[in-house]
Amino acid sequence: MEPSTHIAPPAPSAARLIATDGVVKRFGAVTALDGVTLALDAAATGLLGVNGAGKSTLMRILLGLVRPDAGRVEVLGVDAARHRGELRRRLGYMPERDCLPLEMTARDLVVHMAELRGLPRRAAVLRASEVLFQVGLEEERSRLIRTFSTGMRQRTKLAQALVHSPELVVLDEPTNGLDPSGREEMLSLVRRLSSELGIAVMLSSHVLEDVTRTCDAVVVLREGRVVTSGRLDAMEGVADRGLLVRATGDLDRFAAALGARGLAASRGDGGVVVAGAPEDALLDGVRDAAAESGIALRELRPAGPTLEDALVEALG
Amino acid sequence: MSALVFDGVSRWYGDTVALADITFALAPGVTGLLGHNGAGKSTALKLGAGFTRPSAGSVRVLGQDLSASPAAYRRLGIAHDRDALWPFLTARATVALCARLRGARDPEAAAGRALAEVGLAEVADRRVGGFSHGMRQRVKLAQALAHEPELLLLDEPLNGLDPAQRRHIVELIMRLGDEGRTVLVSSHVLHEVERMAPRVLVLVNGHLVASGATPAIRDLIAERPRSIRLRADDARGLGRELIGAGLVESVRFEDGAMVVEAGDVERLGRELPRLARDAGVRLRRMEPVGDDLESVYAYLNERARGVGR
Amino acid sequence: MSASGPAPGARAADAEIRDVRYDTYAGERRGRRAAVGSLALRGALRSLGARRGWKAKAVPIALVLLAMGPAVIVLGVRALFGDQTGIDLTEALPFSGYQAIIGVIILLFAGITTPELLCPDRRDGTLELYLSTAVSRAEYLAGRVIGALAPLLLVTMVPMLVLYAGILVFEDDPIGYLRENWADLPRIVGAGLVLAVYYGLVGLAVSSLTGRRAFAIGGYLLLLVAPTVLSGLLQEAVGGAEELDLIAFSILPIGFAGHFFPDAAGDIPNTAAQYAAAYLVVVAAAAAVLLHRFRPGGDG
Repeated sequence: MEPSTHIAPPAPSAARLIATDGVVKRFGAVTALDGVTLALDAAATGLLGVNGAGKSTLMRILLGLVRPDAGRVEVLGVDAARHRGELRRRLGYMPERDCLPLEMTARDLVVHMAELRGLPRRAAVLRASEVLFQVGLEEERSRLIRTFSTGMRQRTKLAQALVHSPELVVLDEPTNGLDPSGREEMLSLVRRLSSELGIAVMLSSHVLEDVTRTCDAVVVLREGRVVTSGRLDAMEGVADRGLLVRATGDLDRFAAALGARGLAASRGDGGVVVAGAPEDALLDGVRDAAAESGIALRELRPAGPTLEDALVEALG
Repeated sequence: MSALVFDGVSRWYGDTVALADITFALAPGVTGLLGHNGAGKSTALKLGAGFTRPSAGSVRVLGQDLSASPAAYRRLGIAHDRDALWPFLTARATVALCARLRGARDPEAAAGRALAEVGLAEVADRRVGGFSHGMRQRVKLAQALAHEPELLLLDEPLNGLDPAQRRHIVELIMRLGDEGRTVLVSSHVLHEVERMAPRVLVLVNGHLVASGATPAIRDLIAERPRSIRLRADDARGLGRELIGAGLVESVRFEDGAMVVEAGDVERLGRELPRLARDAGVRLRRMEPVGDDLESVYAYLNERARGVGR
Repeated sequence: MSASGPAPGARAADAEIRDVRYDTYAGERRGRRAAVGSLALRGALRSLGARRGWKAKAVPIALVLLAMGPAVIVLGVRALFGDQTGIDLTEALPFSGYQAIIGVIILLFAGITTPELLCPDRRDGTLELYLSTAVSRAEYLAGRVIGALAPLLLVTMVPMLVLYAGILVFEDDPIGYLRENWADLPRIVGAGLVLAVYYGLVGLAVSSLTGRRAFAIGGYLLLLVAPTVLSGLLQEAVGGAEELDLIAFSILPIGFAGHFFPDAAGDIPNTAAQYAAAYLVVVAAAAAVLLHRFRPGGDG
């Protein structure tokens, strides 16, 4: 048995999931990545960017499929350029394109992939059965992939990405072609990966909702550079855009009651926007004004750009 | 007069039933066409476009039977995912050709305008063969609207587009609806459909399960109480008060918020501020849950399936 | 499940719940050689028709049986009629001539099995999947090459070994025979390998160029048979230019391997050196095509 190259496990505090430093990659005259520097350690990170922004190139570099022209790349604490073989076994990848062998059964494929990543046969068979159940393919696993619908193929791709117990899994457009219930199930699965199963996730998608529902942090690429990188909850709503109140009833009386409390109100966004930071005094004032004026509250939340608005703006 | 009327339409292929007894009349503006994979959306669009004829029932496009009066094609615009484009033509040539076939008065100008609307003005004179999936989708969309049709049938027009492009096209479709055209759009991303389409048609397994405006459909689902997510300081205390006052049927705590179910949402909304104030509880956030298209759609599918997965 | 089994989720005096959800795998991980072996084994089995229905199995198995045919027939005759016929098994079917007799079978066998190793992966896009989370290009190629060569030995080497074993069985003095003719064994192995490498690499090289099996088989046959036909025609026209045998690609390695056996060397027109040279040119070209298709940064 050939021993694998010995990598000293990185010290827990020092380990980042993904760390890049000044990564550059050119294809002929096109510069796909122009100095990308990242430090990611959220459990689930979304990767966003318009077509041609460099997303797929970055993913391929992280997976060790492409060597950067300049810069360092470390994934799971390991130099991606030098220890690609080792890294390959600790990562999972769910590609966007069709890549499943049509003449194999789902079970055979997943077992085979497990074996290729070093699992002995018995363990491979056991884990394949388990992971196929986790993604909801237990009934179809003996059928040829050729007979599978889009949803089943996506699940198969996900299963093969998880079977060897990777520490980080990269998902490229996992909801492609799925109908609403399929999307719902896939997004729940993806959320569970990082929240319950302890597998770090990097997800790239054109549908912002995929990212906002499943990720804790986001990286936005534009023209080969990072324009935004950080936690999602830090990006939502600007603090002082005010409070949005949607209600039915005598809204004029409500506005007057607000005014009596020294709060400025204006109509907008389908309701009443109360200016000021949504702090305690403001919240209580709104509540009391509502109680006084007898309006029927329907919605109460911070006004201002939603997370999706902020992301679209960052995309450029 | 409705631009697209299906009357008792069924379509089967051999032993497969694609659509069963579908009846609807589209109102002007944007209507979303929703359904699981295999529910019959593509078949419905093909029937509307005149690519195929119903096995039973009748389809009337702009008041006419398409097979009898081909002139109606001039007022109809179609963007289908599966159509092939000729790779050696430029985008402009492709759109202009289609515009000419559909009777546009100045095809070249129309093509230029349409390509600008979909955001392809800069690449209008490049060959389609080199286009990405998203760009091809937009060329098809431009083809569909170049001749200013009254009725537009769009099959997954957002496929392959990045988030900014998606927004752009959603806004374009909303504009087309505002101009008074009748637009039928199929898509799987429900919150986008919700933004652009005030009305929807929901297909499940070949049957039309619901049609109309989402909030109105929601109202018809009487057996489901409304849910509201509340964030407040001392949520439990508030919950107790709400139950005590008989304003809610159930209370549960989830993800740091309190979700209540209420039969009479209006009454709850009116009494809540008073109750909170009197109990000294600060209200931070209130959001209706499950009134959105996503939840309505999920419910309709569940109900249609009855027993089963 | 972890290597030590599912962990109990809760336990009371007379009840227990076990948590069988996904668990991280903490067991043994085998080296890269195991991955190469897995690719080779699965590739080889699939090319012989495993898990593909009886139609896919029928042709390869039939060809293997046909390749064994001559040995089986000769041994069968010897078994049934004993010494009466006075047949000397080694004369009746000399090893040097065996491969020539079943040459077409070897050609066809390689033609229909090698595409299975590379074409489906290219057609379905699975190559990207393997290369992104499982194996490197070198490992993939090594695994597939081994997977191609191993089954080929079933027709290029095993039939002769069967014959040899049969001779030993019928010899009065097997040990004596073995002592005198032990040299035949390495010759058989060498001849078998020479043919397997040749037809295998050419088949793989052609298969690496396309995702469609039909094209691969067609291209392979064209590449080998056309020059052979040409060689024959030219020899008819020019007469006596035996060097032209060297471009009869479909049978070139058979001539080369024939030189391994001293008793037949005299009958073969060109010298061993000439055959070796031509052989190496073809094999090197095939290897070059493969390496080019699977170079880093290429589309393969």
